[in-house]
Parts: sequence; C-alpha cells; structure tokens
Amino acid sequence: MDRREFLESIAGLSALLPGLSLQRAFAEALHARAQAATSLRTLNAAQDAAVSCIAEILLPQTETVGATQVGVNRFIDLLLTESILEHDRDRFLDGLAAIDARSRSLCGAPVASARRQDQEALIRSLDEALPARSPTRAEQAAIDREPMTAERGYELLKRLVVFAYFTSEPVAKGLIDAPIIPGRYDGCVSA
Amino acid sequence: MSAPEPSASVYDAIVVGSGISGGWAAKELTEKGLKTLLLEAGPPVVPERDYVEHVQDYSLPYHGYGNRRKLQQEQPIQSQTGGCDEWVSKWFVNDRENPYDNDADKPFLWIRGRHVGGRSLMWGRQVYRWSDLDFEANARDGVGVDWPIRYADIAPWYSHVEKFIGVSGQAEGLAQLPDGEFLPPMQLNCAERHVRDSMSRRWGRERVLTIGRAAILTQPHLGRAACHYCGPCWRGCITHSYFNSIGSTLPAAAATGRLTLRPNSVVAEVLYDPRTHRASGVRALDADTLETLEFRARVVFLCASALESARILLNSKSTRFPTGLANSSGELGRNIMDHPFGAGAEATIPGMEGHKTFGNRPNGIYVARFRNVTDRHPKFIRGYGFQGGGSRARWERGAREQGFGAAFKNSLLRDLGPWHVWLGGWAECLPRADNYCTLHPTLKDRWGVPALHIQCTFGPNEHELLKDMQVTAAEILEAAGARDIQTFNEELEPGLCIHEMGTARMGRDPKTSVLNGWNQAHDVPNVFVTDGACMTSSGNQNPSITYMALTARACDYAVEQLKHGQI
Repeated sequence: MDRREFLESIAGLSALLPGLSLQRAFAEALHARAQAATSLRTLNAAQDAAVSCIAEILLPQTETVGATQVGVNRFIDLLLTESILEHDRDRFLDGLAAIDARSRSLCGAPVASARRQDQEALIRSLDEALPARSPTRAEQAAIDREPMTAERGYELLKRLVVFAYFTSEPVAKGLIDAPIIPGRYDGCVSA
Repeated sequence: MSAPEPSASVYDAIVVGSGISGGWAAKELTEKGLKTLLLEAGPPVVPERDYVEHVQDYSLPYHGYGNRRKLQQEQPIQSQTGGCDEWVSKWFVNDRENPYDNDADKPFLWIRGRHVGGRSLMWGRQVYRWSDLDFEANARDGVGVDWPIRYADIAPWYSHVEKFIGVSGQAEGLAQLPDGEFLPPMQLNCAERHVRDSMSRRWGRERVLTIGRAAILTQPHLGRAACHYCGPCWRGCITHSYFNSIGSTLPAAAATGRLTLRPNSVVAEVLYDPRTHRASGVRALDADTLETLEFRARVVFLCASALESARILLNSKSTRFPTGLANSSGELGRNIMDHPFGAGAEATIPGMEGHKTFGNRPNGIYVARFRNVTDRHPKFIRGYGFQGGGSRARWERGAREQGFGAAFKNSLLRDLGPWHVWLGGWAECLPRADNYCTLHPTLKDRWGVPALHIQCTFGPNEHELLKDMQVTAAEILEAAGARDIQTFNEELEPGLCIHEMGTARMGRDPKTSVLNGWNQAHDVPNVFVTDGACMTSSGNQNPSITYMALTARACDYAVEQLKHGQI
C-alpha cells in the first residue's frame, strides 16, 4: 500500500466510521486489504490493483460510496472465477495486461502505480475511444477474434465496474432506492 | 385436484401439457363435465416458493449477471433468450437432458419450459386478435393451404378467452387488428405519446401506434388483483395479475372437482386402437422413476407445444400409421414457422428531459401492421407489426457513455439520461414444406423418447420483411424528430421468437393437412391438437390468444361430439 492508497483508505474508513482513531483506521485498512487480497480467486495482486484503481477513478468515493467501498473488485473477481466464460475471462485479463502495458509505455508504470494525473490522462484517452454504439452480433464475433487492446480491455472493465457498482446493495438500495412495488404506473410525471 | 388414479384408469379426456393451451383445454373440458387427466412432463411450480419477481439484483449471487459457465454447460440454447436469467433459468429446460439437432448451417433455437404452467409462466403476455386479412392470406397468395376457418368462426372464442384472462388494451377500430374485450389500457409514456402523435400527423390511420394489448390486469378481475407494476412478470406474479395457467385456468379446472393433474409425466406416444380407429389413450413415463404408465380416455388433446406435440405424434407409430399418428397426409412435422424479429430502429427523443415515468410498466407499445393491408408491396407479401417502447437509460447508460469521475458518477446516480425509443418488427413467416422436423434416428432425451431433427430457415420473403422493418422504423422515428437514429438487424435464428408453429396444420383437405377446422385429426377423430402445431399460417401477431381461442372452440366441439357419440 503506497501513501496515496493509504490516504484514500483512511478517507473512506473515516467517512464510514467517524469515531475511529487514525491509527486504528490504518490498521483496519491494512487488515481489510489483506483480507481482500487473500479472498480473491482469479485476480492476482497486480490485476486487482489495476481493477481497483480504474474502478475508483471511474466511480470515486464522494459524499456517496465509491467503487472500491462497495467491493467492485471482489465482485468482478467472483464473476471471473465462477461465471464469465473462460475465453471471456482470458480476454478480460488480457485487456488488463494491455492497459498496464499502455500505462507503462505512456506513464512509466502500471496504471495502479502511475501518478494521479497520468492515470487520469490514460483513462481519458481510453474513455474517448469507447464505441458510440453496441456492436451487432456479427461485429461482436469479429471483435472477439481480434487481439486484445487497451481500448477493448477498458471497455469491458468499465461495463463490469458500472454493473457491479449499481447492482451492489449499498447503491441499489441505499442510493437509487426505486420502490419494489410501486403500486401504479404513470407514464409522464415531472422529473 | 384429485390424486392421480392407477394408470389403467379411464378418463373422459386426457390433456397433454399444462401450458397456455393445455390449461385452457383442462378448464373447458372439466367445466363441461369431463373427467380430465392433465399430464405435464415437468414438476409442479409453487408460487409462494418459486416466484421471484420481487427478488432484487443484489440478493442474487451474481446480481442478475447469471452463472454463465453453468448456463453454457446446461442451457446453451435456452440461455440465448433473455428470460432465461439468474432468476428463472430454472423454468427453462436443461438442454443436455432435452436434446435435438439441426444441420450445422441451419440453426434453430428451441426454447422450452417443462413444468406445470409451461411457458405461460414466462410468456410475453401480448395478445392480438387475428383478422380475415390473416385467415384469408394463404388462399389469397396461393401459399400453403387455406385456413378452414375465418374470423367469424373464432371471434366469439376470442371474446370468451379475453373475458376470462383479462386483457388491457385500447380499442382502435382497425380492421387488421380487431378490438377485443378490453380492460382499461395502460398509459403510454411521454416519448411514446410524442411518437404516436407524430405518426398520426404524418400517416393518419395508416400507421397507428397503440399501447400493447396485454394479458395483465389494470383492475381487479375474477378474483385476481390488479397489476402493482413491479415489472418482471416473467419471474412469476404472486398476485396473479398477469395470466398464466397456474393462477387462472388450472384453479378453474380444479374447482370443478373433475381435474386430475399429474406432473412429471412424460408422454411418449398416443396409443391407437385399430379396431375402433380411435386413440385409446397415451403412454407416458414417470419422469423420476422412468416407470411406464398408460392412461386411457375417450378423447385426447395434445397441447404440448408445436414441436412437442409433433414429436409425440411422429413417435406414435402403428401398422395403420407407420410414419406417425394422423399422418396420412405426410404433413405432420412440416411447415414450421416462427416470427422473424430483432430488426428495426432505435433513437433518442430530445426535449422531454423534465419528465419521467413512475412504476415499471410490464408492457410496451404496438404499431399495427400497415404493409399489404390495403395495397400490395412490390417486394414481399404479408407484413409485420412493431413492438417497442420508450424509456430513459438511467444508470445502465454508464456502461457505454463516455465519462469518469465524480461528475460521471453523480450523473448516473441522479440524471435519468435521455429518452430512448426503439421499434422492432415481428413479421409473418410463410409456411414451407422444407421447414420440418422428423424423429432423429438415434438421439433420445433423458427419458428415452426419440429426439427431433429440426430443419428450419427463413426464406426470401422473411428477409425482405426484416429489411423493410428497418426502413419504416427509422421513418417513424425520423417523423418524430428523433436523433441518433440507428437501424438494427440482429439476424436472429428461427425459434428464438418462441412462436414456433405449424407442424400439424389445419385445413379442409385430409390429403394436405393434419387437422380439420375443429383442430380434430382428419385421420383419428378423437385426437385434437390445439397448440401452435395447428397453425396454417403464422400471421404477424403474437399467437397465444389464437391458440387459447382455438382450444376453447375445439373443446366445445369435442364435448358436443362425445355427447352425440360421434367420437
């Protein structure tokens, strides 16, 4: 854990648990990170660092919870381990490697260890390359046959991060909180 | 419902399949006094235990993403339809246990549910009457054989069904899409109203957008509660607010005291008695023990679905019917149809960002067929209807939208995104003899019943319809001032619309059809087939209400025939 990660962890824990002392919060943060690292079953430490870093840049903690606080990395690891087809899992991991390779080439370090402004510049460049529309099935099949790129890897990761974050209980229940049983339908009301 | 009696027992009627058609057959036959055995291949469904419409994403292990490896292993075909999700993949068959095959270059996707209630649990709930534009189509175009019935024959039965199941919809007075017995319609949303009004200004009554006509209650109806707008009907409905067999027809049948429902009963063949020239009953297998069971009855209704009913008949071989029961015409298993769909256009509608919807309407919009209604298109016959709807993209847009950071997150949390409208066509499929199924020579299902080989492709007319629906959907959206209009054609395989039909078609001539105008086998008068197998053409409307109406009509006829000793 570097200084930046430490400060972010403290900030997150402090927000959640305001009564904690700084020292205790640091210990908790280290413990939580160790727990998370040992519980991951597919992502190695470097891959997890990349996922967590990009997820938090995409959906950072603000006055509301951020991606890492809701465990986006752990959920993605669960999907990669149990659900996502092996071929797609390998493509995803190749994508992470491609992002890190791009980061090394542009910023001199893997994305998780790059300077904050370099991380954001990298993400901005990848984000601007997102396709404007969903591919057709035929286009998707062609894409899946091509070598993995950082752009494609980012596209896959962003999709999973957004899904993992917004379907997590703290966000779906705590922040969006749409009624499960609305009881009526109105087709046009003021937003 | 009474417990199953020993398998040698004689019933008045046997109904095979408890889905949308079988449920209706059970209801009508029992209510008309027949002691009826309803055989269902799959297990019971208990709403209090099995319905999951209120289970939220985060309560599931994969938040609705599903265990794709398990699906790939056990349900590679079923999981290609959207409804086979993390909530209710349990209601779709295990493809390994229920195999079939097709030529590698002619994929056909056969989506099946084997449980009490069948696919009526997961169906789309859209109900549209046919008109004489449909019943006269084959005769007019010289395609296939003529329907032996016309709209006037089925119209009272549409009413009979609609009054029971409860259909919400808007009367529009369109000849090609007759109005029914409607409960109050659901509301169109802001974007849909805008598109409707734009269409009206541009095309008048030629292209009409209306709210979907849906078997979902907008007010309490026959003891069932009105919809509470939770959204995902296909995961069950504890208040029985949408129509399915479990909440409606089966309780009605059970209330007569004349229904015996036997789940886990895989019917393998209809038994034929050469002395009487009648079916004597069915042979089934207990799904759990594989014990062979025989049930006897005076009349047999096959309602197992178009391909399953064909399979049972093809497997019912005898000296009199060496290629399958009631197959003297050779048409059994032929003329498979399924609606081509998955093509149309989508766009954003600017200018209504200050408005949103409240509640989750489990229904979309419908644009009635406008091709080849009053004129003739130079490139194709028949037509299509559009389904679709308007919505705001909410957080889901974040997967594709550019942006990151606090502003991006807050935007996804707080802004609903632009209004988006899509229109997709559901087109008519022509009957062709070279779209067929046969019994596979060696492949069998888990219960030892021969599997099907299915051969089905879309022809030039279907492809022209798919092309045209992209053009006209874009025209409609353009007329509404939409932006970013994108046409699409997913080139979906036949079968995926889950409207497979036509394998034992009705017709006047026993030489060219399997069933007569009463859904009665020409060759074996106490055998009726009232599921999608009976369809002589496909129309472009969702077919379930026509199956239900034909079933009720056939039951009425069969009971009269039994009373008069005619069968």
